[in-house]
Amino acid sequence: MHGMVDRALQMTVVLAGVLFVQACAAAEDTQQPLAALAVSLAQPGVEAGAPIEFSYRVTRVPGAALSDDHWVFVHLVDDAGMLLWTDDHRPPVPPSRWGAEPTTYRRTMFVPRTASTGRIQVEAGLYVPPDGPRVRLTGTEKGDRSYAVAAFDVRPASNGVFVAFGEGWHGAERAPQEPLRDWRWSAGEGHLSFRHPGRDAVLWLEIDQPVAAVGPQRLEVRDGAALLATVAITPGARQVVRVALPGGLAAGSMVALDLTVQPTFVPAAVPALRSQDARELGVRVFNVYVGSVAAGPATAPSSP
Amino acid sequence: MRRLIPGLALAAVCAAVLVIAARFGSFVAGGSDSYCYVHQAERWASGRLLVPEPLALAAPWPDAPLTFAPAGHRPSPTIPGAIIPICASGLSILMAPFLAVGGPTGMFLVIPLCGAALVAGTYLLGRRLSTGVGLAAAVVTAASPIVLYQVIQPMSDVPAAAFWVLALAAATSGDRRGPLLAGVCAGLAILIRPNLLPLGFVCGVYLLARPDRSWSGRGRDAAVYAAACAVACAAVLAIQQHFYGAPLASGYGGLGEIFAAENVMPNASRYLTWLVQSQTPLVVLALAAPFALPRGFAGVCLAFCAVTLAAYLPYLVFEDWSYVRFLLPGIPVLIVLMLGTLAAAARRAGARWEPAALAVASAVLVVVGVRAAEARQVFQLGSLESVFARSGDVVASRLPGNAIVLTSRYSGSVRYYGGRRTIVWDTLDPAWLDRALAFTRDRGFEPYFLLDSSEEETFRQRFAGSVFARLDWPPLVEIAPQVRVYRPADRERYLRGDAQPTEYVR
Repeated sequence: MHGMVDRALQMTVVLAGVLFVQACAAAEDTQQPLAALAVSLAQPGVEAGAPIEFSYRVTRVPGAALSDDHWVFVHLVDDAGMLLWTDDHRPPVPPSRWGAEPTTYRRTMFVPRTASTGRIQVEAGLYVPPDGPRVRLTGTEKGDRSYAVAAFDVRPASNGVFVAFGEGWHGAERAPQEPLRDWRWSAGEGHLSFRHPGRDAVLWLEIDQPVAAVGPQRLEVRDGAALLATVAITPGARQVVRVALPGGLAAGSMVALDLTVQPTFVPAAVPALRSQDARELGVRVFNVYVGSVAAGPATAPSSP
Repeated sequence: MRRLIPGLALAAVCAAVLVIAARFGSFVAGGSDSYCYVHQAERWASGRLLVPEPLALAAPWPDAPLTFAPAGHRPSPTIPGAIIPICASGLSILMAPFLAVGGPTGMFLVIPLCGAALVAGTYLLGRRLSTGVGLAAAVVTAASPIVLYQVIQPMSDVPAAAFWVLALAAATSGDRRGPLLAGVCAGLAILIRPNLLPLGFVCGVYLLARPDRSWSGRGRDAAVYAAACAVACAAVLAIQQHFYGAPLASGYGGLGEIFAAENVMPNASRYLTWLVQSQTPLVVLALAAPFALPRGFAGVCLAFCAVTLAAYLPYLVFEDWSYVRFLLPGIPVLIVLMLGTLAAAARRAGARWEPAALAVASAVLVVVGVRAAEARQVFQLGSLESVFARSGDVVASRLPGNAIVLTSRYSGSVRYYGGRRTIVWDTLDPAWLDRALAFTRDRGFEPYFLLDSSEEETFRQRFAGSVFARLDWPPLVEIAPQVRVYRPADRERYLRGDAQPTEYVR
């Protein structure tokens, strides 16, 4: 019964979508391109669950009107054109200040560890969120002012260094609208452990804390008594943090890190949230990865 | 045609309940209660109620049979190595013929059908006052957040409520066959929820005391009703003797373990708050029923609601609103009284005001009820519960036939969907994890852990003395995002440097 209703709904939506696309395709895009957007990747491929760095290069056609409300949308699609995940963001340099000379910035994105392996196409463009108009750009348009800007391969995760969430973490969660993105809340002090890869290694963390009422927080990453990093966390900003790991350890020796967040909060005690959630929460960790230093630097903060 | 309209309207409301249950129903044997009912239905359909598990008898650790009892079950006190249900048997008995005829889907249909019966029973009860009250009460009951919440899960709350409301409707009908119908319905309700037996006395006393019958008529009605109830009571006693070793024992433990006088006040506060929150403050109008409605009818209905509440006041204290489900037999009755009182008040202003008042009140209550259900994630429940079935399916398709799974929350679904033996880790002695793994291997099994991410910390703490409790090697499968399947044998290979890919299942 479920299946039949859902299939009927899906078919209706697909049919409507096809008709809509046909109708749109029939109308010619007469607007002149206002800007150009190019993306280059640090690596031609990456394993699922790992970070990958994108270098963005943007220029504005002289005299073109671009407001600071414009964001860059980044859609990761498979060969069949199915949208897998996104990395939409507000560009660090406002579009009104872009010129004919290229403006560049770098941004690190995590490939979801549950992503399908294979070729991934990167399609990007400019739009006004949440659903505002898109801007015509120069380049190869894939339809609806979405432009093919790069491609890379996703390999299966090797699990060479598996990071275990020890004590101090709540269960994994995800939002239904983003099935490939999940997270775990820390409970104030969370423990991570993994097998040291035996070379100069870096821990990447993708974290945020979305509740404005909590205010700024501080995250400390420690290896025993040694403080490895201190990170300032601004509510609402998702960021990729890179922490150099202590060297000189033999391959296979276990590393145990403590991630301590101050202050923590209880959603039920934050009136603005109207929540009954009585858990003590620190930060949300979306992705954690241990890799070699050679994988390249991460930019911070990397989110809207 | 006009005479057909109420019937058609009622059929539409019942159909709406069936469609909602079919569309949003979880149809999953996942949690403790749902697996208990579903597994027992299989046992009743098979005719083999108590099946010993040889491994439970051979395992050397303390309380071994307890670790082989999955969610919703515990070891049998009479047959060594067998498991017995914690839940009462009525719903499983009801499901068994549906299972035999329609398979698992047929079995799960019992709950939506009972949901439709609950709505129909509410209509019949409300019709004692007027057709309008009956229809309005049926609509409002169908949109009640707790009815919507329970009609989409394989649990006994809706079936018990349906048969109790039908019993009360039949007892108050005045029809010649009413007492017999009331007795049969009450008997089924007692089989499903034996602790609500006192509700049977409410209906019985009403039949014995109703003023519109002669003394001999009352005696005959009450005797017919009591005889039908007695059959069910005898069946309950026999089942409890068979399962628990004593006719008055239950799967939930001794009376002293689950009932306490100090629970009365906290429960009274919680249930009344949840009742008003889920049914709106208008429900208080029901208390005015003795002043606005026929005294006998209002009296038996209020007594019915009061006894339902009283049955759970000394019971364990819970914190979640959904436990207002315990009051489900009384909630449709309260709705009838509430709308009946409103209709009577409107009638005093003029007969034409009654339908208008009922239409407005029921429309408002439907909107409020559905919104409250949405806010409580009722319509997401099926999707949330699907992880139980997906986890069991992964066990069935990815693990070898000789797998034995150490799990807790998913012990029911691993057995039901995965078809593998389970050991419930949170009943395993903390010092015995390594030896339990060795024992299962010696017996030709390959042990696996299946854990929810929210269970991992407790697992680590419980078995802190075992390296396997560190869960520091890649899982074999992750059922995204929260369930992981680990193969303990992989740990050594991973630490040696071998690649251990994880399969992700969405």
